[in-house]
Amino acid sequence: MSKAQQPSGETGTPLHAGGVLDTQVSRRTVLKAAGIGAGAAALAVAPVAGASRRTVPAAGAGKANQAKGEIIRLGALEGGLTDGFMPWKQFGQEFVWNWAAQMLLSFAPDGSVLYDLASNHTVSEDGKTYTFTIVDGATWHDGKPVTAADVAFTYNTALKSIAGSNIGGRLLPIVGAQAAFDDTTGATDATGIRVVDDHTLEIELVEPNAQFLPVLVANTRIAPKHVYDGIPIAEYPDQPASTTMFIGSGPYKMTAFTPKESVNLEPHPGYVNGSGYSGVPAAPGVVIRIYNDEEAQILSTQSGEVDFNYVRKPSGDKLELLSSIEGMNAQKSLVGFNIFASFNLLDPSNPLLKDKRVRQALVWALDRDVLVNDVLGGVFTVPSVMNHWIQEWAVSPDLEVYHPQNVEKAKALLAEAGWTPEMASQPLLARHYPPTLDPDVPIIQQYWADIGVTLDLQPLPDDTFFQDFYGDKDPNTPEDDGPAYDVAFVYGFGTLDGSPWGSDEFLASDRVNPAGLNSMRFANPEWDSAFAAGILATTREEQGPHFARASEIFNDELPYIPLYQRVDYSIVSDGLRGPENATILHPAAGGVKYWEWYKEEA
Amino acid sequence: MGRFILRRLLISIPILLGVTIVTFTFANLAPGDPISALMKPGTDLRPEAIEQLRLQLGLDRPFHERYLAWLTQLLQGNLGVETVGRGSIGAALARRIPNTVLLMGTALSVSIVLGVLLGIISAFRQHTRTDAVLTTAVFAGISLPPYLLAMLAIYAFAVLPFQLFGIHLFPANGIKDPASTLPPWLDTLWHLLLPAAVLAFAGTATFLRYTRASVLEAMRLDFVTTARSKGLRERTVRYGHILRNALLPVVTVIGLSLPALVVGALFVETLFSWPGVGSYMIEATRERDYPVIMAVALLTSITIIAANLLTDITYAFVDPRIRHS
Repeated sequence: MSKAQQPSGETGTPLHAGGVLDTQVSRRTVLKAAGIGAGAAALAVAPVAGASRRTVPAAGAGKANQAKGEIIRLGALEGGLTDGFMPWKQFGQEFVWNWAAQMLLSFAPDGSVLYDLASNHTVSEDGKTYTFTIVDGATWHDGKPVTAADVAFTYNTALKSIAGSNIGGRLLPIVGAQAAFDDTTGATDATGIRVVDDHTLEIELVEPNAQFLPVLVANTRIAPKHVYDGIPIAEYPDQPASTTMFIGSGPYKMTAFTPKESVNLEPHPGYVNGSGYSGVPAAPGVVIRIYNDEEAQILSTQSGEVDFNYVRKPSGDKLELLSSIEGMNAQKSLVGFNIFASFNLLDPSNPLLKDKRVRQALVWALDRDVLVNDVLGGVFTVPSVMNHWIQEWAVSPDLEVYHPQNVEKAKALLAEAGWTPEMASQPLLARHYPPTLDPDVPIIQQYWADIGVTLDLQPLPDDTFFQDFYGDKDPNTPEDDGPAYDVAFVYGFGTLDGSPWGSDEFLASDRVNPAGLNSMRFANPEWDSAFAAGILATTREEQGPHFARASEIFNDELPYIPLYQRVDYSIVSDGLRGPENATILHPAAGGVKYWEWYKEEA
Repeated sequence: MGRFILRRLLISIPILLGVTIVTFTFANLAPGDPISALMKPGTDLRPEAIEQLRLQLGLDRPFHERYLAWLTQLLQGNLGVETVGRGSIGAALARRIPNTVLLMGTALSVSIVLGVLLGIISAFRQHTRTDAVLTTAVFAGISLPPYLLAMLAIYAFAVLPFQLFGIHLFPANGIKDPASTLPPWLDTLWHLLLPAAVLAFAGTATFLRYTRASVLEAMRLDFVTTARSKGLRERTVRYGHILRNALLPVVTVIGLSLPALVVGALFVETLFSWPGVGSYMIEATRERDYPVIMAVALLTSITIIAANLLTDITYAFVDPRIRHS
């Protein structure tokens, strides 16, 4: 697996490798000296500029925790900041939640548990009942205590679409959840969610499910029940707590929100978490600037207006710009999502596409190094694992990597499968999303033409994408006719953190639309069994072999080809300090101790 | 005059209705809908959740039903809620209009004053070096797309000063610094300067061009020759006769520019992350947020109609020939 930078895990260590910083400081000093004359006019506004950043006053006496340094300034592109603060809504305010909300627990990239609102959890011997202990002393930002009833309320509300939820599917493994999900009035709660006392919550599953913690618990922030008490459930989305002033229990509390402009957060003095931290968080405050435009985001970062910005799959040019910003450093965030080519395994125009040797040949025919480095500007990476998930503990060590390019092998596999040169005159229907053609697709088309497989490229329009890609190409007939493509180039399969959790959504044979997102109609009973066995197992040692077997099946069958792995970038100020591994800084990543982040004074 | 105003107001009603129908039609004909704006490949939106969302947003209803529902709400004074953010559109506009008025008002005021003054100077000094310089500046101001000008300005006055000297000369975007401890008015003024200057540059060029042309045309009219032959001082001829006539068309141009006070400059607001009506419209277009698109289109139409009416009334007062006719 490609490794991003691995900074020191020591507290207060800069979030980047050293060496480069010294060069940058020297250069800036020289330029400053040279610019004194021109800076005369700047001095007129310098007091204005210098006064605009608040610093911490001199430390007072008697406080166990003391904020330090300057306010942390974050930037965020608007996507994800427009959908309100309800924790039961998929496209919520990740950037705010990270600082202002708590989950029961989350998982660090190495799989270790970071307790948050829970101080402990246990699992019954049969693997079906989870008991969570809510940490003592946790309070909401309005001062009310956090109890198990708040967690039960949040999870039950997440089952109810009438409340604005679109994550109900995550809770279906819970006993009684299906009935609650099916009751569109929102009157039914899941019987498997039980409040034992103020600090104890019990959740019973229908059967053991190892995805329960990572997919639900570690992805759902907790909302205050008392804020929604007495309000009709259909009106939950319209409440101020849902739209303008989130009330959480996280290390920082919202104090101001201007929609689509900015968010202000101040330390929550009553902050407590299950990992043993209590008291004010490290920074004197956090502000989030919201951008409506990618160019505005870049320019603001270049102007030094933010200490942290997260940029999704930047183009080569943009990455070059971001990497050269003085006082900032660009850190790779290796995100699991793949750019991929998927195949119609049910009813393609050429039945040979259902032969795995043809699909394997199509991968061997590609020079993905050229595609990544030369065509796409080096902002993706060739995955070292040809599977839906990438974490080492869950993949077989013997997987074929289909790399580097081997055209002769590709031709041999095609011939073995019975592919004839005449078939080049019958192009496969190849759809691409986004509708604007990405630069790599025509190159891939050429690679495949060189081995005798031709494509008819057509876009997947925005308004019919879901039906064409996931749905049935002929919805008027009762039987499934397969998707409206032979091959599709689409962005975004794979799991965010590279773990196996949630993969059945895309690959299990019973998860074809509308039951799931198995676009390819991949139906392999052995894969189904292996994955189901994995989520039934309760420890990683037991789960690993099952997922590894599933990875072998995927690797051999290739229902889709993970072409490249998405690489996002975090642009981080040299002055920003945090103890954890900052290479996975996707806003939804778990295991990040935001309460310990601070920014050194300039 | 009263009957004239009343007649214009009555005609405005079917015009506004027509505008809303056309806007609604084209918005719905455009590819995609709010659901597709939310949908990105790989996101975990189950099909049943998408269908529920579609029902919640009323996207299952026929075109005419949705339009009539919107119109009914409008007649009750309700502009509706944003499809994606669920905020009140009325509240959003109430928040954004002052921001746009501030930006555009500043830019327009500077443009008018500078543009008219420089236009007069350029006309009175035709064929001189001053005129050549000003004419060149006009071409630059009109030719350069505002978006490009905005990017250049941000780069020159925000990015480079920080990159080279570590100072924040001007902010790159926004209407305020959420971390600032400056008095709010000062912080806003600091953020206002660069985008207003960008817009004023283009606006000044426009007014300069119109004023210059208008003054030059007035200078060639017979009454000017008559005035000079009567022995009037050149100063009186210029300011008492030429300018009084030359500025009448300029009033029209100013009037036509007034809607921008409310509607804003779409791309400049977006690039500067200025939270005005223009950037609101851009976001709504990107998100296929029909209620917002309709509300802004309606606001634009009302503003244009009002501005035209105001221009006609002003013209009548300024030009005695129209008043007496």
